Amino acid sequence: MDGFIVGRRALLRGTGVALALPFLDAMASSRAPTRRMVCIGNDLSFNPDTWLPATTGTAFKPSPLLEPLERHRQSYTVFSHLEHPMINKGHESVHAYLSGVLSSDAKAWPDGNITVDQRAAEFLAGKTRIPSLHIGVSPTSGRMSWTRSGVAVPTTCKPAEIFQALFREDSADEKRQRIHQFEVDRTVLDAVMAQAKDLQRKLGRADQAKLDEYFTSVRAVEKSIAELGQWVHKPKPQADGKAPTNPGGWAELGKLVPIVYDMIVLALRTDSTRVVTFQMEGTQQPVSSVPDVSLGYHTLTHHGKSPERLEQLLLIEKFHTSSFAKFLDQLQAANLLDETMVLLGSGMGNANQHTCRDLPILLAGGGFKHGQHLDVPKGTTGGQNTPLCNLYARMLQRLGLDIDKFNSGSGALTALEFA
Amino acid sequence: MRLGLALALLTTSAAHADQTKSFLAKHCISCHGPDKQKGNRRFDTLDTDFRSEANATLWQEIADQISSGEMPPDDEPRPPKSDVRRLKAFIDHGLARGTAAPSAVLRRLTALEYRNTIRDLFGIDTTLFDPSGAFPRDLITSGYLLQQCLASAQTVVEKVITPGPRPPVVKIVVDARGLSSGPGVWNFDDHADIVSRYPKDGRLFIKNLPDGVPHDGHYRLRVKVEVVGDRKGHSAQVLRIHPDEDPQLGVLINTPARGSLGEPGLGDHLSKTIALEEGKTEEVELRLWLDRGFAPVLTYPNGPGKVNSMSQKLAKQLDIPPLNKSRATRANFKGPRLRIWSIELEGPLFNQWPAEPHVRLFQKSHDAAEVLERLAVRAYRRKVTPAEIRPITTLVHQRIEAGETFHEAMKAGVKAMLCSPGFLYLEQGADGPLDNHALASRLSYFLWSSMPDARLTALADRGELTRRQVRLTEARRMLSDPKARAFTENFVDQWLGLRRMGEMPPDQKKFDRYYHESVEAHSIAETRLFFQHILDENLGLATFIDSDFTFLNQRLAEHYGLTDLKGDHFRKVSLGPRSERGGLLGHSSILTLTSNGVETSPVTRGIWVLQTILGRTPSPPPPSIKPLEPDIRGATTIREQLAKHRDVEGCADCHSKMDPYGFALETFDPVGISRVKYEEGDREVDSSGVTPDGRAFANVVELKKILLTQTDQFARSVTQKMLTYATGRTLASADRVAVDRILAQLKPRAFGLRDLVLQVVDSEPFRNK
Repeated sequence: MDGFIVGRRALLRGTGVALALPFLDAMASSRAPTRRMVCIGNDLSFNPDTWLPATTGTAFKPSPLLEPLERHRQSYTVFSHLEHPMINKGHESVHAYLSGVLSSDAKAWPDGNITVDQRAAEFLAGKTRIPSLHIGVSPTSGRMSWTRSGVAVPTTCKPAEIFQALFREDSADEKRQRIHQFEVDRTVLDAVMAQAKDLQRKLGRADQAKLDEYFTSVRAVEKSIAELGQWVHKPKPQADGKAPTNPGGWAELGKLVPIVYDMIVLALRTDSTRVVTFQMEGTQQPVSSVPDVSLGYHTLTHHGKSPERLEQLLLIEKFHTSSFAKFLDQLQAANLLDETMVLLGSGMGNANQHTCRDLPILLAGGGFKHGQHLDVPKGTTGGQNTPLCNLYARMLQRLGLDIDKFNSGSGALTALEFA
Repeated sequence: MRLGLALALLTTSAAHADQTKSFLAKHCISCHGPDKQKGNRRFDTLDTDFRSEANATLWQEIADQISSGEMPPDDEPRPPKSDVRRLKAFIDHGLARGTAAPSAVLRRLTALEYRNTIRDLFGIDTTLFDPSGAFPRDLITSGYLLQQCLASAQTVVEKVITPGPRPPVVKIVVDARGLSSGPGVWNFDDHADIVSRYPKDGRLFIKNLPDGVPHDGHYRLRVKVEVVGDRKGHSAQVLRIHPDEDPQLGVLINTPARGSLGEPGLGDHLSKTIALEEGKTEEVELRLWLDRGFAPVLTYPNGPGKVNSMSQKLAKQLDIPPLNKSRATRANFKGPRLRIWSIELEGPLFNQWPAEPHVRLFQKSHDAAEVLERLAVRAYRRKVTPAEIRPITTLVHQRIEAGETFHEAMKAGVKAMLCSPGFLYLEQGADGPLDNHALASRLSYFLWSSMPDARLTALADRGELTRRQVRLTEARRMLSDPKARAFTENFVDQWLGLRRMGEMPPDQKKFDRYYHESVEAHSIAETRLFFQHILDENLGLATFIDSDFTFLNQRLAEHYGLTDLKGDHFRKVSLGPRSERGGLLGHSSILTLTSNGVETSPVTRGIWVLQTILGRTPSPPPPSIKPLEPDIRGATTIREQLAKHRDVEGCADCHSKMDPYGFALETFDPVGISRVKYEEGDREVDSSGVTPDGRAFANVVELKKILLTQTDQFARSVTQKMLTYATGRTLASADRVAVDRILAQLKPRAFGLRDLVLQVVDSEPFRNK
């Protein structure tokens, strides 16, 4: 653990950001828990041979990739035989990681291809300044989180931008400007709504159905203007110290990932948001900052069983699980881990085969009974294992949603018990 | 009498239905019936109600498979020709009478259409400024999209409505101290040297312009530049340069808002490349359009490659200490560099103020209703009644009453217009024939991806676009307009999937040259130019399958292993007959996008050929099948692994139809370079195969010969794609008639591409909603 300080002031590893308190009163034990959700996806998956522990149950023996997490053994559950039914299109399926529904099939589902994080953000709407925070490692990330209407939520790969959103107070002039803009937009929406109603009368049935989208959108924007408006005058938390600099477009994975984790901890500590996604899109990501790696990440996942490639792949993947372990250190030190569900996984199973079966999935923290390798019921053929959305339903239940099923799931994974 | 005839038809049709059933029972049901459903198809339960689109699609497929001879498979007895003819007649008859062609549904402008329409509506430059930059690619209207529309519209009105004083002309003069540094830029006391052309390394810009220029406008850029070092004195291989070329100064434009000017980010815009003379100091002057927030970046586009690898290799070769960051070693470096002494940037420069878009919008009027009505006719692309835009004029009046200036209030009004459904959606009226204005829009969004121009609108106002000759004349005029480039780019992107380029980027280490020489951009240019040429010259569609020419510049020619082409400009290059590069299948763009950036896959490439050239969509693999586990340790080739895969019955049916095409293309590596051996394991490439209908080929050249015999099938596939693109709706089986009609017209004229475009414009689906 890298000298992380718990207390009234905290210096975060790597970024050198000091936070002036008051924080959210995370230390107070009397209040009801504040539930949060962090979903981390690695598009290139983890090699199943080094990811899955050989034994199951509470006495499971950690796999090579899970060794760095041993100190958090009691705080996580690793699963086997979770996957999305009917989805197996290699890289093209990875975007369904958090929804279980391909974007092209969204129309056939009542909630479209909404992802678990967006479902959570809908539920928590208005509670925090930022409804949900979405981070990627490159400018081309951004197909991991999807809204109810089938839109991919864009990501940022710039820590400095996140820092600004969290801490930089708008000037009085900017605030006035924003309020003015909200006011203009409200009148603009009134005018276009009147026009749209006029148009609707002239349209045939199929066209009218299409125009319904427009009406729904106008109402959604009106609602979000109202929500955003109330935050303009509330002060942001304060941070002294400098914002991190952006490591640039195609930043080195090794340098970027720890800073991103720092930013997530900052966002959660200050209760600026309660829903975060972090997408590690890896096809172009330079990995030379991971020691002893000479080949491209994507190339290495196509290892073709070559021992040299497998060795290097293990180094990168171990870097990921080690960084993740440090992230859990930070959450624990800030007393956030018990309230924060942290999902680590991928929409791809075996990258060498490009399959989406038996996904690598791990859930840490968030108020569950952990400390196990949970082997959920396995189907007889591919595509019949336990739906991953059953876990998502369970996570949403923990968050407080009254649901018994999510998207392509068949129920909630009650085998994972609440703590 | 009439009753008698109907009865007679009914009986014949019943008799034909029986014949059809027995045909299916004899030739099809054993594989597509109660016991087996190969390819997920079952025909014993398929009834002859052609009004159901699902049924009609399956019948269509049966007709196509049987008449092309692909089905029944080789090892089954061939049905007699007369039976096939009868079956086909029955199906055609059913399809023709079955379903009515569906209508297009109200649709939103695509991101590209939105951008172009904003450009033409206000006459503003959208080369750098992309008002649709944050729009999702799909056509769903969501709260998110509408929020982006509001934000874009705000930026647009700020750009267009400029009643304030003329922004002051500012001249920034920067010497060595004000120049940026970077991995490929070396800073000295009185100058800075650009030493690398690598896109991320050698970028020099004005350090003190962190937010780009403060105002839109034209700017004058002056650069004092000297070419130093000897391009011929060092190993060209180490420097990775072309010693004979004149050194060039590149001017890119980008915005720090996308990260930093020190990296390409989401895309540099290449403004200009200027040839320089070796050993001379020159003052280069340029006039550039810069949108607010953008700034110029100087590069050395044909300078040395990556700095680190170059300097280390060079040090080794010359036996000198390796270059490091110390100025002393850098000063001793004798390699080629561009030395920048100073930069001046002066602007914004306007010929008139307020600028033209403002003047054009208001035409000196201060009457909100008048200005808005004039704009609405063009923004909504149809006739508009004053009542319709009353909510917007009311909005403007209310704001003026509340104390806002006329122009400030008009910003809100125009913003509302840009967010209203009339602007965002393409209205096409009721089902049936399109009216004149809807026709004008259909034509202009088909060929220009933008709104109709004044002439087209005038013709629509006069009701002349419903006349066939007028429509065709207009289509020809529009094709000759520079705006028709949007058709080439957009249609090619969608038809060939070029927009997916870069989603699976080639490995940066393995395909280093691909990045050094910007092969991706060049290869996209090749494919577009190829299409444009076929369109301009009305060449036959078969040219896409095989051709004795393509379009190349020096970089791309070298990528293909051709060495006698000089310079960056593209030109038509003769390949000679029987070239493996002829046609789309030799284009590096296609070969790269059908690979995963690491290795080639005959399956992916085979599917591409099947879908794009032959217009067939293979069924997805059954869920229970385990995919191949690539294994490069042993001596097995991908071909051997696939052969094993094909032994499994569930796999064989489909794979024997797609793999062979991919095998032929194994002769090209993942970025489209010819190869005879695989990199791993020293194994030779075997590009022979046998097509599903049993024709053997030794290599891709022979495969193309076979594909040429299927030009009719290819023409059908392209026609369907273009008709879909033009009408903005999926085709249904009822559109078969229209497609057949187009093909019948085109066949005697060798399926000319320009003729095809005109036939599409002339077709029934195009003229109807």
